[in-house]
Amino acid sequence: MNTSSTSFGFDFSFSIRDKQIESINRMLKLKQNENDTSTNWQEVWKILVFDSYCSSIIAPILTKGALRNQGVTLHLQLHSDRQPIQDVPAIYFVLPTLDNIKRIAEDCKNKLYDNIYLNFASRLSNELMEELVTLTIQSDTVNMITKLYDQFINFISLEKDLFVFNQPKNSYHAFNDPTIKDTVAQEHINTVVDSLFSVLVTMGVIPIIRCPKNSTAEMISLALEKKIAQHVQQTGSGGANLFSSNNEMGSQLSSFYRPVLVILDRNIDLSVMLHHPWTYQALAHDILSMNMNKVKVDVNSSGQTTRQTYDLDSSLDTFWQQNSGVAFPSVAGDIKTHINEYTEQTNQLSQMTSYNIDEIDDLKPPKEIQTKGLGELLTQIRAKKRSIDLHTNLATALMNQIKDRQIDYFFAMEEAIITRSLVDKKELASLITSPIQGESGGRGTLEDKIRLLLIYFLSSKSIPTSEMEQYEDSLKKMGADLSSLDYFKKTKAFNDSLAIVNSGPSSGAGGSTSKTTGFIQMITAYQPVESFTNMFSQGVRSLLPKSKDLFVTRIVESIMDLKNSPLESDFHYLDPKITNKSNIPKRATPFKEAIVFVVGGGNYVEYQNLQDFSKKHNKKIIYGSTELLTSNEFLQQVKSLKEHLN
Amino acid sequence: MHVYSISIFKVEPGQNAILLNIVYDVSSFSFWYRNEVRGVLLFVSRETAGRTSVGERVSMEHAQKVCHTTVGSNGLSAAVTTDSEYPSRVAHNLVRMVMEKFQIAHQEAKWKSVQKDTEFPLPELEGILLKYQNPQEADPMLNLQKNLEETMGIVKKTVEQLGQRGERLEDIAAKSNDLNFQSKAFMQNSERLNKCCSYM
Repeated sequence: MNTSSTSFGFDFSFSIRDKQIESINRMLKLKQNENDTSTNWQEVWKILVFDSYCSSIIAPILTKGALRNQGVTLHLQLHSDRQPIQDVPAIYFVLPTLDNIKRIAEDCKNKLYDNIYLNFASRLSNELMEELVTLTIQSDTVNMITKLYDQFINFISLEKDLFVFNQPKNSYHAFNDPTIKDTVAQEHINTVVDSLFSVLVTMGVIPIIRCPKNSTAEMISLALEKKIAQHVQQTGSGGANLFSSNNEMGSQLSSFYRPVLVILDRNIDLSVMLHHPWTYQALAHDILSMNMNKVKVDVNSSGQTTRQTYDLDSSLDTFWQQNSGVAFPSVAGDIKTHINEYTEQTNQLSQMTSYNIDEIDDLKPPKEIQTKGLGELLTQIRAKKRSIDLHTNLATALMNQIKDRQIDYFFAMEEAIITRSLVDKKELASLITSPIQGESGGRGTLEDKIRLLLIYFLSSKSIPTSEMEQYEDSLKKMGADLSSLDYFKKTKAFNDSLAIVNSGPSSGAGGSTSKTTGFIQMITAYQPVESFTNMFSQGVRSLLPKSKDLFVTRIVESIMDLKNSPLESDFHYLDPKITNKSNIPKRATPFKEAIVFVVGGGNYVEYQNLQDFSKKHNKKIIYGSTELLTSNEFLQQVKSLKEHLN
Repeated sequence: MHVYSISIFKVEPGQNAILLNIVYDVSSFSFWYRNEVRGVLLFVSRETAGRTSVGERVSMEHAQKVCHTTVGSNGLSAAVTTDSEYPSRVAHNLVRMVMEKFQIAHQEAKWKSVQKDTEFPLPELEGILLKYQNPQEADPMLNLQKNLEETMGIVKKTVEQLGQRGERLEDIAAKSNDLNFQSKAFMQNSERLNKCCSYM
């Protein structure tokens, strides 16, 4: 239990990442209680054995160094060949599946480790527990298992306010498949409910739940409410339960501190899944397929191209933390500032010593560095250089694609459509019907054009048939597969409420009204870092997006501020703590904190929009989904759904 | 041939019909649509029953689904939704039978006084729904009286005729509390109206 937080013992850190790290560190500590001094397990080396899902939980939040700080010297995959290691406790961290149970039993039989601590990311069922006991009794190795815990952490934290489940796989398809068997559908619901339960246990909160009536989100919400209520009732109102152990003060406080959990279906807003992004992190995801905070970038240096994999960790990389949500053109300016700071620091170092930064060998630093206490400065300089290289390479790779594909134009047009601003029809037609990039007069890839057309279709009440035919014919001639459009024609209705009221007059040069002139002038050549000041110097006009609330953001705002607007008139109000359902006392003060979960996929555009809103209104919002999808991944799932409709 | 729902309402002219009981069989629809379908079935039943005059026998058809209803002189109404193959005569017999059973089970004074949806239990309704999935079995007279529809005076209506004083379906849908946001969206655009139940 974490009692080391603030002076009052409160811990209101509304950060899912921090809370999950706390849970994992508790798991790794092995101490029975705070006062156990009999054996100081913390200082004992341990092995960590995990399955692939649990390793994907740990990867974004704990570095190898952080694991070593907890005493973990070696980590191994469960389903791999492993040798016996004596005298070391082994901590297992796995999903509760039959395959995993069988492998654990086999490890016991082969006497790989002396003491085994089993941690299941979610509750181990009775059947599987019995199976484990049976198998270990057979090999007479039950005693090898020292402890067994249910951890309730089967979800993945990517940021302090962003999480995913990565199950069920292909969740948009899974939750919209018209041919799905009842039993499979129920399994999918259980999977999501289970992970949502873990999110709440980890955060130590029992929220008010809001969800639309008569929807898949409703099925999940009702099941989740039931699960929480059962748990609370079983352990009694006065006793400690799963929620209080993670947030002792939080659970006893009045409803003032309870957040709201908003559960929505992906179908509530599909345009956002196709929208070209314009902020740094969202671009890295959509254009370069950043996944689980890792991104692969092709780097050109002295004529050679190499593929680098970068880790984007906002808890370690301050530049990333400050710029991940920033409009891309501003990032360029920020990199420039970053470089200037680096140059200042290296000059500082040169002045204070007789050495130039390039002359210092980190493995054998000159004595002068130590005697003058400059070790810290040197470390900072090295870290800054790494960060500069990373972001220069990343931003350049993004800029090249933006330039080649004219993504800025697609973004601006889509914004105009989504915000119901005046749409320049000629420009729209040009973007869609012009040739593919690379050819003369080419604009955008085929996928870019399809995305734009889909957004236009989904956002417009009625489009003249001739106009649609013109666009469809152009695209088909270019070889486009329009089955996703066919799918949306059959299943999705236009919704007037999706219109976003323009939030005021256009702000200066950055308005979202159509621009026919190019607004990004690109540098074509990559410059080495030393002359970086030239880069981006040719007047990158900043197209600062107005703060525009997307549909999900508007729903969340209405719910948090208790507006009772028509947006949420068909929403349930569920309170797992109240047993008498006929009389639920409703919340009187606006919510300061929310967890927003979308069933069937989400993306960084939606995430960023919620973050922009929360910053502006001094709220805290955690966003999560079954998976984070690039537009192409989303469209693949839509295509596979279309096949079922035939 | 399917019966999708049986519902019972208190109907007062000029007001929303008040729901007294409803049972569904949506097993023939895909799993993910069932929740939404229930909402649509309730909406259709409530609006059709609520806009039917006393003594009229109405079968309102739209997109291969039919809502059969009648309203008694005391304001009690039952509505049965089926597919378009289901014989209307059998459906209307079912409507009348359900109304009789309800009146035996519950005193008129009790249900006449409710002002909002209130459940008046009728446990046998589930079994009746199951039985009537097979109209032959439920109503053995079916074969002998195939063409009795004409003599029974069933009024066939379309969804456009539901509206009073120029109301369109979109307006009715927008005001309804039975439909969620997605379903209302479907009813917003007359071009798409014909497809509104295509997934069903």
